[in-house]
Amino acid sequence: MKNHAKKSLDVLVAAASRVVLGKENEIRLALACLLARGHLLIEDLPGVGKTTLAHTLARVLGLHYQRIQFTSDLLPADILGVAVFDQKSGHFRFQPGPIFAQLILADEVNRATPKAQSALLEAMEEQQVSVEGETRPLPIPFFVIATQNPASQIGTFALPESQLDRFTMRISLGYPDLLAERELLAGEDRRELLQELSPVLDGAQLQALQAEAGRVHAAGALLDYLQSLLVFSRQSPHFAHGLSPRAGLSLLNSARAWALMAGRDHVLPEDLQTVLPHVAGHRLQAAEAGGDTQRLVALLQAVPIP
Amino acid sequence: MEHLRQALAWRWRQVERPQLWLLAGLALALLPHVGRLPWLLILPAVLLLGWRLGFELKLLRLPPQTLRWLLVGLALAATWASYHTFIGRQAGVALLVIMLCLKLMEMDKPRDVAIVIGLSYFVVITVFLFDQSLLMGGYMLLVVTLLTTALTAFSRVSATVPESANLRLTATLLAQAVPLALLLFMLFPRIPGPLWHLPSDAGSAGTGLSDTMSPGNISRLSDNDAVAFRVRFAGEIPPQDKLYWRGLALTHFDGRTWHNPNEARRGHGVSHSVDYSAIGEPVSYTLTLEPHQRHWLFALDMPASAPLGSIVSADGEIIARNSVKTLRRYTLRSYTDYRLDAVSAPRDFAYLRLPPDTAPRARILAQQLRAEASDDADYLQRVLDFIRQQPFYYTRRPPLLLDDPVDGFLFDSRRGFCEHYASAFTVLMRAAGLPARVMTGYQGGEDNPLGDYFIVRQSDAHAWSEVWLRGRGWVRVDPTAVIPPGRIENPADLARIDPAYAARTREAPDWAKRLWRKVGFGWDRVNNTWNQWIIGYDQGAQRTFLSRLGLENVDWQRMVGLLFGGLALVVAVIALQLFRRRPVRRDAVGEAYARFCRKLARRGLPRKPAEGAQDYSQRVIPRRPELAAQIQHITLLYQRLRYARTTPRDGLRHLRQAVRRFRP
Repeated sequence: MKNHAKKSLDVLVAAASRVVLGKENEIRLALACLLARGHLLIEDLPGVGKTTLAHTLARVLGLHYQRIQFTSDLLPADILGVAVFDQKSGHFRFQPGPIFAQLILADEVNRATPKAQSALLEAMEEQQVSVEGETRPLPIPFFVIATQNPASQIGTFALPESQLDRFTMRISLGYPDLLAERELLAGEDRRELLQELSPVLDGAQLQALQAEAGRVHAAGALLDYLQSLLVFSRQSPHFAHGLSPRAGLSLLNSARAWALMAGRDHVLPEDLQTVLPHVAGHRLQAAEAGGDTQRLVALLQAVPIP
Repeated sequence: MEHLRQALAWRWRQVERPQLWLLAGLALALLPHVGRLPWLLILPAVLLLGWRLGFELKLLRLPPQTLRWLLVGLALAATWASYHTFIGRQAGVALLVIMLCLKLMEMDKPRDVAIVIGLSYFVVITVFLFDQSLLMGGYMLLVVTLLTTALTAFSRVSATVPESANLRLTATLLAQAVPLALLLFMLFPRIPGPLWHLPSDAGSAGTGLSDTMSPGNISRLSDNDAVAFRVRFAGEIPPQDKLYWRGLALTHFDGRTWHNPNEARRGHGVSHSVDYSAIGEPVSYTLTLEPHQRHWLFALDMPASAPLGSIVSADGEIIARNSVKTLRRYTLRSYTDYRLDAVSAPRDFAYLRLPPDTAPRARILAQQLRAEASDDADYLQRVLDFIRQQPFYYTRRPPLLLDDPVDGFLFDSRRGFCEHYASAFTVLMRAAGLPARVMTGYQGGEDNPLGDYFIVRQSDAHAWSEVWLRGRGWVRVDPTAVIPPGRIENPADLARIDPAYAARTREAPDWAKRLWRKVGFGWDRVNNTWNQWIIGYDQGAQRTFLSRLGLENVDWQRMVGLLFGGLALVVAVIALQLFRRRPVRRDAVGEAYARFCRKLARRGLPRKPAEGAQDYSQRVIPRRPELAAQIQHITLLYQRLRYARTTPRDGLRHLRQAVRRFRP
């Protein structure tokens, strides 16, 4: 029964909420992204809790966690790993890089050169890496949370749209509200809290939940709605370009995960509408110069439900 | 063999469907022309169609341009060889057909397709130049459906549309065209007479009576069931023995053939007044004459006047100005009982003239009988008695009489059809100095019990005599009628000779025959209605129709105004329908939910188009908390029915019920 899934996911969200205060919706979105087997991009200012969120998720999900700080001198090998010559055996031995983990936090991904960026993005897409002519599979589940700092654009390489499309969702955290901030200031140290967190799920359970999310039913009427959204984005003159088929799949899978988290075995148009700003927002570009993407999302959300 | 079948099946699946629709439509459109056009043109047309089909099956290649030009030259030559002209109905249609089929050889661009489909519609129109019957109309509707389907199939952007969708679209298009067609039909100003003069074709005589009578040419019609004309009587139907439908008077005899050289036959002379005193009440009737390509009209003996556009000739025939090329309807009054007042003998000796050296034995017989008779009337009776008493037989298959048809019939074979009797009787009259002429026309007819009208068929064609008697004028004498029933070979002819006998036998037929007759009458009635209302819808009928709608004296300008006004109205209605159809919900679940939303909208809580059912219910419930349970129930049911994997049992029924009971 789906209620079982909902119960364990609710427990998960509650546990994470004790560390990341006042951000339950963002936690749910991140979780939905994970359940949809996608990758998450968090775009926000430094210090609002991006790292904490990633770390917390890794803890409660019982995932092996690695953090890669992206800098301008980061090389692909620093991410993927290198072959080291072992003098004892006389062979090259592969020294796996930080990418070989279940949950990666790619911090300030826009600081690195495109070359390093694409090493990460290729790994995200292929679920495997090729080093020294050898293909090595990445662990399962494999979930990347990348962060981007929109404020300081000096010396950064903004991810182009084609790369942004690889991220299933983009969310921002924002400042906490007064109540949450007060609790943060008055409460215990987050680091200690994190250490105290015990995993709610194990890897197998998480995979089962991912599989279950994939089985959530999308009726013909819902696909009609999804397609009319896609068609609208492609035909409306306000959009520089329409949503890609991958965007459509991401929308559907995210909505499925969202429906699973709501304890349903079928997707409702509301599920699509909830995930729409986060799934479509970073893929859209206004046709007019200076047009903001929020207006485009609003336009999409006004498309009638057939 | 199996291999070949499979290969063909594979190729068949490769053919693009729009091409098939077009080829099928075109082939069926050409089919009615097959009997009309010469084989010199039909055969190439069929071959070209086959060539195109072979091309579509990827079996053949289309001819190169030089060969195409050569084929065009050959087609022109074949048309010229067949007709010696390119103008006229037959030649024009032939040229259209062969050139259209040639166009198939270079049909590859959308523009070519459009031309071919457009011309195919035109071929459909040309079929109606030859045949306007109800059956052909229905058949051509089928062809138009095929062609329109080809048109819709060709104009589809995507090739993956199922054929049923194309057919549905065609049906919609045709249904939308129906009110437009009706308006155009009813209101397009009609011009009296044909719209333009179609050049008539040589040698395309219609069936029916000809303007001459020689032995054999009426009996030829005795098996012909085709309808000559239909009559609707305003009052009572006169008895069968009064139903003599006058056609043509034949005054000149050359020993074998009767004809009438009178120029009035063309309908350009002056109308003669026939002086007669009517006895009894006139019979009013409306006669719808099938086209027979001739100038004369038929009327019940004796018509009181000639209908518009025709005159009464000196011989009491009705001659129309234009030959009857289309269905012609006219209303007449006739007196079935009359006496001609002409007291003076006709001055024209043509009524007495016999070619010299013909029928010598008949002349001797005439002189004998005349010498025995007291006066002309007595003589006439004696001639009739002669026919009655001598072994004369009535037969559809009279022996061929070569030297002298009159003598041969009267004294040797004594077997003949009505034309033999009328001819011989008239000769006997003239030989004794009585002015006489042969009348051809129809006798009797059949009452259609299913529709209040009379059918006169070609098999009712008849010939009789008219004799001028002093003091009585022209008297109708039907020498065939005196033959006793025992000497009539074909029982079916008994009815023709003796109407009383027909009345007796009509009760006998078994149920199958009765049913068959009934079906026949029913079908004829449908045809009659078609003729009266569709084919016969002329200026007069249009006026009558409009005055029934309360529009009196509509001149053609107002008619055109009405027409365009009506067309604009119909187009506006269809356009409105199309605009309103945008947010259409074709599914029952969506329909029920839409009704729920309308009910709430009437209370000031409309659903936004992009608002999901759940969001809507959450927005509405705080405003109307007393309806919460109902709204939640309906919303949940709707979501389950629309989006869930498995739908609840009877869910739709429950949803409808809940929506019906929902009264915000």
